[in-house]
Amino acid sequence: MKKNHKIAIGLLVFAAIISMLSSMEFTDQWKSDVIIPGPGVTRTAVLSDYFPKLKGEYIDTTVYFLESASPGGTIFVLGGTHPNEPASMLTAVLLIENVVVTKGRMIIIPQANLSGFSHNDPQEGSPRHIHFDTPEGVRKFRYGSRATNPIHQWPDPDIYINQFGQSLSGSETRNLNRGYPGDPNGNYTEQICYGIMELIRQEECDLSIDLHEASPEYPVINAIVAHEDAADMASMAILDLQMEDLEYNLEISPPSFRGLTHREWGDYSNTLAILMETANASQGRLRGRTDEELVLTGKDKMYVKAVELGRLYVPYDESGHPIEERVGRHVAAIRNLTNNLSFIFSDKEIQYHGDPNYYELMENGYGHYLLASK
Amino acid sequence: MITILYQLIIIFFLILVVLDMFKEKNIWNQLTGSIVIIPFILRLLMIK
Repeated sequence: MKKNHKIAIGLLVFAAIISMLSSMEFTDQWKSDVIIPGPGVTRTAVLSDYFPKLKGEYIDTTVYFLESASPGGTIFVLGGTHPNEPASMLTAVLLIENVVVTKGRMIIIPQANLSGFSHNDPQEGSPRHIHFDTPEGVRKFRYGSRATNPIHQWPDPDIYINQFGQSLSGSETRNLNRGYPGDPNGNYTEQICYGIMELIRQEECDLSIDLHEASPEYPVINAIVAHEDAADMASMAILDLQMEDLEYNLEISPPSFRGLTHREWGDYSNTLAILMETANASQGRLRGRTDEELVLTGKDKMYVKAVELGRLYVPYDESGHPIEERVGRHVAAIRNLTNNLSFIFSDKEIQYHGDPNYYELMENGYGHYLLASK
Repeated sequence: MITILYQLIIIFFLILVVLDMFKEKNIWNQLTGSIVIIPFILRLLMIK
């Protein structure tokens, strides 16, 4: 055998080993996160129960029901629209593992875009997982990508023209929060949107909340974005939140900003549509080193500098914006929105307990509220 | 359908690169070829 043939074979073996090791890393992120139904969970379903075309697909995400025996309203909480905004999924998980509903019912999807959780953005330096110490050990969750995995939906068009004829950048074709109200014959992401819309319509959800995070330099932050039908309720909730020393901005959903939850949920169903944002440095463009610590603590000296230069829309100091604060804001806002829904519409009353308040979360840490994984 | 066509194109280029690695006398070019085929394998198997 010639020398160069021997070298070629050796290098092919080298390439095969590297490919195998890389494959193990990538496929590890396909594994499901452990979410433990708490004492208030009465049953689970999957998204394909509302849109059967999704059956057997990776994106057929789990729906958790927390129901009471007493009739009342229905609140729908959506986490994980963007898997690189961890406070969104973690808030939903906290509710699933802790809340007990005593009047009405709560429906929760913690990982709306499961495909987005199956990969991350290596060029962003994102961590693959985040970990929490709990009284019973360590729990971990995936830190995913903003968009659907290209192995599930590809290729991206040069320009994504949404269902309303508006032109967006091509990669937005995989952004779950640009594809509403969804299309049963549309692309993979639009089909998830359609499944979620069907859930809202079939379950006759009275209040629907889409949880998000945003980079600190984004103007819509620490905010509640409300469809105009939900504006009164959101205004009252913000006043209540201010009485708890939690500052929020109220933004009314722009009628021309199509494809987003706060617009299309309200236009294409009878629900009161809300979207909420907290400050997440790990997805910002001004951030420094990107690692799990940044995701969990929000401590970043680049953002401290940026706020000194007047470039941010949130306060920022050396203490950062930890995950407890971001989840705590979401949990407090959900509580106050629910209270005001019950106040405005007495026949849609929802009561529940088991959720920590903002200050308890800050004191005890997020891991304190996670159940033991068997 | 588009995925199958895409995979056939990848296989075509994968074979070309592997054949070139056996023809090539310069070890650095052979090493370059081995690095090039890694993303081809990952895309062929739709892993990344």
